[in-house]
Amino acid sequence: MKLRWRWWLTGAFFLTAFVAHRALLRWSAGTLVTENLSHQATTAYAVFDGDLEHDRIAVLYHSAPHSLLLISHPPRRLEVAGLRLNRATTDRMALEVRGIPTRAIQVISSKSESTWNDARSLAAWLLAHPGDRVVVLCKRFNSRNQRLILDRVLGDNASRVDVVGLLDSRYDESNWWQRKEGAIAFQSGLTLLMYNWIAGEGETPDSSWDPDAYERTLP
Amino acid sequence: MTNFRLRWRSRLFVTAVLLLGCFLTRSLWLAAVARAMDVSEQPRRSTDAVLVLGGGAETRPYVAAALVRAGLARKVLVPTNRLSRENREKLTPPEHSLVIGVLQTRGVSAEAIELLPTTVDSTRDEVEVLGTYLDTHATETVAVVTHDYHTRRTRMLLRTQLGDRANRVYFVAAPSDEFTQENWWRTEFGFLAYTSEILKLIVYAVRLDRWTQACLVLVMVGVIGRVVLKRRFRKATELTVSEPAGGGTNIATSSK
Repeated sequence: MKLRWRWWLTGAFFLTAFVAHRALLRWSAGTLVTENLSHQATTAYAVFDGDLEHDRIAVLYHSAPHSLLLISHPPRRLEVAGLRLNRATTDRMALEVRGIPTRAIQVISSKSESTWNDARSLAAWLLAHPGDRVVVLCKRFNSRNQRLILDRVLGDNASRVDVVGLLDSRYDESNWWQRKEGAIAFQSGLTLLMYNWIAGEGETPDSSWDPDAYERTLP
Repeated sequence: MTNFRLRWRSRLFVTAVLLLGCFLTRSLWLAAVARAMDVSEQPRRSTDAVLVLGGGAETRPYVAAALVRAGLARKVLVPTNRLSRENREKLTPPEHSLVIGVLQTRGVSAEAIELLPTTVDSTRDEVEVLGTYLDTHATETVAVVTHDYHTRRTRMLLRTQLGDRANRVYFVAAPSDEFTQENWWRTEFGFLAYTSEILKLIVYAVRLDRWTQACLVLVMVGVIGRVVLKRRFRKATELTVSEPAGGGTNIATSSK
């Protein structure tokens, strides 16, 4: 009898999963998204994720022009070698091309390429600009993770920050599993959310690999 | 009911002990997982060419350049990457240009760099391009440079797609700037990189690897067999328990 009950339950589970898989997948992506616009007067937008679509930032800016904060990280190997510009510079160039005036863009620097340190840079900015409110722009499936980190880092000032997950033109909650980019974004958003929720801030990345030292180890 | 509760309590207890054990020994087995994903070799033997896989321009081309400069390879093969949105807007150079730039700044001559013309967008594409190269260069050997955690999946793809040609290829690991095999779970970048790669490895193994497929079939047969045997055993036990009582009644009834 007990065994039959288990079989029925397993069968019902798989049947539900099969029939309602679209709704389940949409719901699971929805859990990674947060949009808590308080509709209070905003002073600035802060661009928190790399690889956001500049068109969407520009549309947002032109619908309600405020200052735009870009986060600058310490240069990596390819930037030091002069082979690539840093992210803040390329973002600035892309936004200027889209009609955002140079004077509206501010660059604030972060200690390392980590969301926790980006949040600390924003905390310093908020401290220097009392009374200002910020809308943090990030990837849609990373927005709950950003909210979590901002809440932990900013403390009382967290209420001065709203988070908006920008849509990607290739996928959204209703179809992310049909595209490789969507599946990667979902997996990445979920992994980072779980990691930061459970483990908190990890160790600061250590960029200590030295190509010259590596070359000396070769026969 | 009491037995049922006891059984579940003991199961929960065992699970909790196992989880606690996993947590306490995490440094050991997580590092072991990372080592298991790395099938690269120390660059000791010389090869004809080095192929730099995409997705790690911060370190992979530096390793390739070091191999050429140490005389362990004659030339570097660079696949042409599909242009991203930022490449098309000329905000950033395409990855193959970055790789070539690094190779040249590290002293690799232009003659020793070969840009493979077919456009690639995934590891699978890169393996196909390598297959074409090996077809046209029938005696050459190639060292593939990629991140250590990426080597096992790439080797799996290589063996499936290239067959015997895969014997002419070996792997050299490039490090990651942010983490190592011994601490990847302590940084969010490392955790993300390894969990993504483990998931992809599982998917690829189920789809491509015959040993994994055979193991899965065996496990399924085992589970079904266990359920069937358990049912038969239960029925047999029920019969032996009920037979004496039922038989006795029948005898008594028939005697009346």
